[in-house]
Amino acid sequence: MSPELPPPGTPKFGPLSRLLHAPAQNLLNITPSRPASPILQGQVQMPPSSFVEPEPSVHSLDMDALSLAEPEQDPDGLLAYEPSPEESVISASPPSSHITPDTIIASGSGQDSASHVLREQLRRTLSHRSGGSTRSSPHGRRTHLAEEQLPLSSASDYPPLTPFEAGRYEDRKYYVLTNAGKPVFMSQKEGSEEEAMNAMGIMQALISVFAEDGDKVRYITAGSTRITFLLRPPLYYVCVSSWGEPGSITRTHLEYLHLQILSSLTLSQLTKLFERRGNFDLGRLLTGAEPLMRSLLATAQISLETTLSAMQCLRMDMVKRRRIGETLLPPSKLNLVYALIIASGRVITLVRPRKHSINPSDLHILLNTITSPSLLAQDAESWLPICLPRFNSDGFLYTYVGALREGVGLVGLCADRDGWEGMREWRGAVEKKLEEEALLGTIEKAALTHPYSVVELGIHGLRHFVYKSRINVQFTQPEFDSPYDTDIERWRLITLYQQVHDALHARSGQKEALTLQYIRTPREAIMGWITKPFEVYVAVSPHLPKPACVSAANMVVNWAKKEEGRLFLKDAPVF
Amino acid sequence: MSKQLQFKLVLLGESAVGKSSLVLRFVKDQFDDYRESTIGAAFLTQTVSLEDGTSVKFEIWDTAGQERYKSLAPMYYRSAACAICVYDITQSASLEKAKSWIRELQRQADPSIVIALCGNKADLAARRQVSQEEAQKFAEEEGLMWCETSAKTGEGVNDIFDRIAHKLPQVAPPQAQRGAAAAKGPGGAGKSVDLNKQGGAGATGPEGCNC
Ligand SMILES: Nc1nc2c(ncn2[C@@H]2O[C@H](COP(=O)(O)OP(=O)(O)OP(=O)(O)O)[C@@H](O)[C@H]2O)c(=O)[nH]1
Ligand SMILES: [Mg+2]
Repeated sequence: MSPELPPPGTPKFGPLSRLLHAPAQNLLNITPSRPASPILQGQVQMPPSSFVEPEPSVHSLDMDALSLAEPEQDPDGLLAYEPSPEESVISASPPSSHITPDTIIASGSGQDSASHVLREQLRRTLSHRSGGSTRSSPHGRRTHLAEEQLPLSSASDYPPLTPFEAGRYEDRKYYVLTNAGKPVFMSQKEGSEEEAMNAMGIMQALISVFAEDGDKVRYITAGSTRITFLLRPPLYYVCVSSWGEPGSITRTHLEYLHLQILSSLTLSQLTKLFERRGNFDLGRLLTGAEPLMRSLLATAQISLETTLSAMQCLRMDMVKRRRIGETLLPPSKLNLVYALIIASGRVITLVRPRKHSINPSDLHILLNTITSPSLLAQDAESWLPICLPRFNSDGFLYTYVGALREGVGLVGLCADRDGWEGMREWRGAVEKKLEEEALLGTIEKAALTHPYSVVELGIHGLRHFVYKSRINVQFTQPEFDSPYDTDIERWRLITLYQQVHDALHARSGQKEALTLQYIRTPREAIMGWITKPFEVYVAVSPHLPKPACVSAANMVVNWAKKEEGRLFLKDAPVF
Repeated sequence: MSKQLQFKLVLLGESAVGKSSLVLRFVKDQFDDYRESTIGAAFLTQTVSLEDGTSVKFEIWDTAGQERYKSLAPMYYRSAACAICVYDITQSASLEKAKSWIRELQRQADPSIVIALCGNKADLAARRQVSQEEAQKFAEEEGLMWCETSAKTGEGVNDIFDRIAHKLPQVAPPQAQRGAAAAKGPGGAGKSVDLNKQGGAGATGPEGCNC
């Protein structure tokens, strides 16, 4: 790492302003915004076109050497630090070859006619999506902040979106198929089934073309559309997106889809089913689980949980939160693994055995599964088997979910399939204590007052931000207020954050991780800054001078420090 | 004071036949056109008052019909005093599924369990695939209660729970009449034979099909 990086744990004005004046070119990575395609092409040095990555790749080793040190977390912390499933499961290595779809297929195994057919079909399938003519050119140009004044395309603070921008956020499409080509799931409900079946057939054929050569296809880019593949035999996962997000983002989505499927089946059961019968119809077995996959994907489109691999808890008074945590502590005869209270889909507190951190991806899958409305309707009580893949991919945890109030859930997980009666007794005891101390009202109030507006911070020019406490593996963000209060604007902003995140963490095979990243579009400037204890992303007016942007980031950090007790779940009781 | 009885009731049947909808109608008198498929099982309670002042509290397990939850079912029916096996009158395959649940109950559940076969979605009679005669005949042969219901309109829903509530005090073993005790009581006690079943069923027969 460069010596200019700020010393860990000193997130004051000092290091940041020092960085700004540092001569080292690679500390700031700025690309001028280009009116034609302001999503900053080449900014996150994505491969300019399709590529196939032979695995294993030597580049994968670079990752560890360059990635930021893990935050100094209490080894017994609440949430296990997890470098996102992407990082831990797949090597985020750079492309070793740049090949277009044409060349990929043509260079296949020499079966010219077969590959020709494939290529034609692929082109036809994709043709209706590749309308945008903007072809990204590779130009990961790095410019020092001071050296280039960015021309702003408009004096307005918020020029309208170009047709290309407005059109690119078409719903991403997700597919899950078996390695025998059988459809398991697809995200879009409308559209002809036949078309989707064809698409999956092509995907399967394509994947196997590379597999025959010992290759794994990871991405294919066609026009402004990128197809991401994740191979988890016996299942294949595919995402088609034209949003311009880093490839690591869609791969993470696919990883989570996989985890969601594992959570209803367990890995060992999945493996067994396919060992018995290679062309097993998993789609049938998973009927009824689609809503869970859909809600997972819906969250992934508009939230940074999966990107940051962190949770957002409900804002609440620290002392009250602590009290609520204490009421959850189970009698020792109850073999609880985790217990939590959620409201508005967010965690209020989570108690656990001292040595059991919960993995953020497990928590995400758990929350996605239990926040379905019928589980938290007034008086509802349920008992469900859930596999938390990082906890134990081969077994279920039996989960009690009881609605204490509409939308307020008490959740307890244990390994005992017959643990129901014990759980109900526990629930009764918890409810009684919460009622005695009037804490249920506190919870309901917290659910109402959780959202906050960026104006509450009173920081000039600041439109939105995301602050992640790396130590707590949690993040906070204000509401998406104007101009980010429409779907498209929100998607666009999140994609920008994801690009900055990708660059900071060198997720897409960039040469090195960065400490600070500033990008500007005609509509906003985004700055990301990472230190050992935190990560912060701010969205400001594009006209805000850079020093002001930097000080806005600092003010967010200071605000978060001050508010920490309310924002984050810390020191939850353990048992 | 009047007697208070408590019984465990389990709903079984293929996914989407309307088990959750039936329970929602019975417990809250509501209906959702769009309901998510149940994950695992949901637990609900509802009390029915009989003419003689007895109140019968049902502890209801609404199980998930999806195939992948099948292996969990014994956990719920093991200690149940009664079971409603639901099919959808517009899907003949769902009756087959209900029959296979009935066979499993006859083999595995407590021999005194009261079983009702229930054809739901009666409001969709225009799309009927299962005739009343066919289902009723099967129920009579097996000594089960039978009825048709519509969770959507409410038709027949309270009726079937009422009939079960009347029947249970007569046939259920005493320990099943005390909730918590019944829950812990070994449910597998009656793994034995259909003969026992027949005995219980005999009692069920006469009033079983006046739906
Ligand atoms: N027309 C009509 N539709 C019904 C009736 N009962 C349920 N439905 C609909 O059928 C669908 C499935 O109902 P559920 O109650 O979820 O079925 P389930 O048996 O609980 O399904 P699983 O939880 O998957 O086992 C829902 O869309 C209901 O609205 C009915 O009596 N008439
Ligand atoms: Mg249901």
